[in-house]
Amino acid sequence: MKRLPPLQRPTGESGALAPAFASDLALIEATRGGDERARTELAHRLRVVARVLDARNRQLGSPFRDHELEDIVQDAITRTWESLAQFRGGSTLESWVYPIAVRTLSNALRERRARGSWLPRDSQVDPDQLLAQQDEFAGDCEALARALGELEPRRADVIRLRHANDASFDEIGARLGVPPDTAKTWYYRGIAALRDLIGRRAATGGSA
Amino acid sequence: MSTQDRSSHGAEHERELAQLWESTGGAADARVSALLARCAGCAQSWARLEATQALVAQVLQTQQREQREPGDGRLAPGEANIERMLERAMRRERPRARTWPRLLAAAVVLVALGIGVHRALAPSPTRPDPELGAGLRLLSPLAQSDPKERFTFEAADDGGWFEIVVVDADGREVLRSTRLERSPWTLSDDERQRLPPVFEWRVTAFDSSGSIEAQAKARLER
Repeated sequence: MKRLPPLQRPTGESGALAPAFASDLALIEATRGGDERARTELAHRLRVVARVLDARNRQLGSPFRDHELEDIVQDAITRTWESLAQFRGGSTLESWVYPIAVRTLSNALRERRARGSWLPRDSQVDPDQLLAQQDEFAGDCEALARALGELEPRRADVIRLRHANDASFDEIGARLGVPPDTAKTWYYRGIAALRDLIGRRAATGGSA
Repeated sequence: MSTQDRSSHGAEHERELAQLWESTGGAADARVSALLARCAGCAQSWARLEATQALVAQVLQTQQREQREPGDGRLAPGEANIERMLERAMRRERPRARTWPRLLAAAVVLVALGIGVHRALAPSPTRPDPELGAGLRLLSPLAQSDPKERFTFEAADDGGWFEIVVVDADGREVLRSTRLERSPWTLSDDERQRLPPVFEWRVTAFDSSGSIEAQAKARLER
């Protein structure tokens, strides 16, 4: 059976999941309070921003050189810090910053395109179409992150384990201490709830 | 499955749909395909469920892949400086465009321009000054300390020939080589004694038809 990563979500005596990633929330609070060790730990966790930006830049054919990408990382870190007040612990910190990183790179690419100094490596690819795809993916990431944050925590956990870790319902059930059929029910109900949450946001222009 | 009228999609249909979604998870199931065939609303609702599932899978799998640490221990650009970046962000410093590469580039351009202006206004006595073509380069003498008995240059070997003329500070011709097949041109004792204190030597490269291909010159003192 696959070894799944810890959920970082404390479980109660009955095995019920706590409503939040309390340790991440505490880490942010401590950093905001001036705790230097917490700041170092937070910085360590935020290295994921640089990795995401590097991976996406490479996927796009490396339109940004390393020193330019460092500027974009700084921008993403600044945006992350400015947005941390909105973090409610509905997900891991890494999941929470992912849409910010994706959006920051998409914005940087748009600025570069506006200056006319970027073309995709593959000349067959329409740059505006590729840019639109980046924007759309950034929007999907933001919508999903918000919706997962509103979802019943155990359903969100099952969905993350199922897709981010490619876990079977047997593995998820074992990890969460519930029968596989229960994990499966949580998953499909979670997807149905996400459909409604994301659909409602789309219908109201993201303000729902 | 209910036998009620399936022409109007409503709460009852949604309940059945949800039950099938949770129990089967696939449109290939005969009960699902039967429901979808009989109600456009159910088909649309099912399609949205599948689209949501696909979106969730795409985003979470991409996120997992991109967040993974590279196995080779390589750091991403900026990864080693995150704490410093975070400190900047905490001081509410907005990210600024990196200026030093631009400043460096500007400095290089200014220096290059300065050198160009200097050469134009006061030609150096020790540097060659190519005038035409790129296939000819003077080697020696270029500096006061260089020996003056041989004039050497480098040129593309294209079957042509060369000629060297030495002029004094006023541009008057002092020496002229014979037709040279290659570098160098070695001066006789008499010719060397005729070199003025300040002079310029000019090399002209000709092609096999006698047309000028390239020229270069250097001005220096003995």
